[in-house]
Amino acid sequence: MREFLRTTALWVAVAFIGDTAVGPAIAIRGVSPDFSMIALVLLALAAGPLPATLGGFVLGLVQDISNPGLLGLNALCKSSLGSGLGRLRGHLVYGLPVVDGLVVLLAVLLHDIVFLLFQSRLSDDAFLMPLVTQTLPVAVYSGIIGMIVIRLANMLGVFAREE
Amino acid sequence: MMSRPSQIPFSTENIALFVCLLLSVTLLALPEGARVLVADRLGMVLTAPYWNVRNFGEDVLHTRDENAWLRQRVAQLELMESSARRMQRDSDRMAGPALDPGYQGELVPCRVVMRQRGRFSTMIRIESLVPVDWKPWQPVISTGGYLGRLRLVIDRRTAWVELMASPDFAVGVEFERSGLLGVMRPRADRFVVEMVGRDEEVLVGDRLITSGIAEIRDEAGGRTETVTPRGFPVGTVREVSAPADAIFKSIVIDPAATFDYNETVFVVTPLASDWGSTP
Repeated sequence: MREFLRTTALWVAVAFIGDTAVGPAIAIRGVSPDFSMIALVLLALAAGPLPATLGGFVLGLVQDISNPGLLGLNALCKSSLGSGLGRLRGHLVYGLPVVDGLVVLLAVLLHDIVFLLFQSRLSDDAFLMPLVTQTLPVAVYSGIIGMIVIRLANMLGVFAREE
Repeated sequence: MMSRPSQIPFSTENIALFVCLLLSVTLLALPEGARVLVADRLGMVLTAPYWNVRNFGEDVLHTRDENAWLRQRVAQLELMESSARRMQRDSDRMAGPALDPGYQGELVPCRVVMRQRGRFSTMIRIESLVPVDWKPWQPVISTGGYLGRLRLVIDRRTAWVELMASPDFAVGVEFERSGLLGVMRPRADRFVVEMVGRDEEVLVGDRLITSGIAEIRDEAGGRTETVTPRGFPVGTVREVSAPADAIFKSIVIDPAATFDYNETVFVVTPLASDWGSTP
């Protein structure tokens, strides 16, 4: 129970405080890390596919509320991604920051590709432009910050059981 | 709890994923109007409490500063209005155009952060919201009226103010109705106006304002001349008498400003740098 509370508190804090307070403060030319994705990776690696699927769904739904035109799309992407990332748990080389960073980077890329495919309705301009100008820098920045956050979480003992 | 995921059979994870996907697709498939409505209802449950708390916190943090700026604006407008009225009155009573109509400067809003009640002076420590080039002897007012003057500048944000309740304090005053001049001083537990001839007409209820007449002080660096601009409300006459053995009237006033509840005070800084000229 204690570990569950600790993990839940941590990923919720990373998602909400990160996106609302830290993100804008460390933004570089308008590019800030995707803390919701970092939180989802954290949850998936710490707790596995079921919590990550449900957590991803809730996280996506909260993000969808501010974009009612595509209500459900973030929830769809994040719950699928949570499930996939959760299944990676136990198959990764732990203790290597580069691996954590790469997982975050790929998760952001994959999420945004699916999201943009839906949003752009398969139009080239509406898909490629945001992918190159927004998704790529955000993915790289998120990977770097993700490495740090996951390292810190590791120090707090969130992955202790897994190791 | 953390060990639970590994105990849950694989199919449970799939069922959870299936339900989440189904819900997401259902939401996506809703008609536009219904989607907006559902998002609104979900927002009231999921995000509204967080935003309410956050907005409330921000409001609380900003209200005090906002109040200070609003009070400054109101005080400035009131001073400008009374200055215009004074000019009109001076003109009506043929006092001549040479008289200073009063307030011409800027008000710097400050917070009172400390009070010190000493035997020889009653001071407040103030903190400006913005850095300011203030100098000793500049007047300090509140929305009620004249409060005192800067005595000790610590840095561009902090200074000590000597209140007019300090035993050693004196300021030139003018009776607004008649233009009579006097000197206001604190005496024990009251404020009196001195140097007003016994035959002059002073009525209970007469309003007093700062006279704008220069004050000269002998200081370590030489003589300093400072001016408190004309027109800041100082008080109202409470008692008047003309003792048989005195050549001056005895006048007691009620101060316009209060000294106990001032949260925001304003330092009057000049537009032109005509302060503290040393001959």
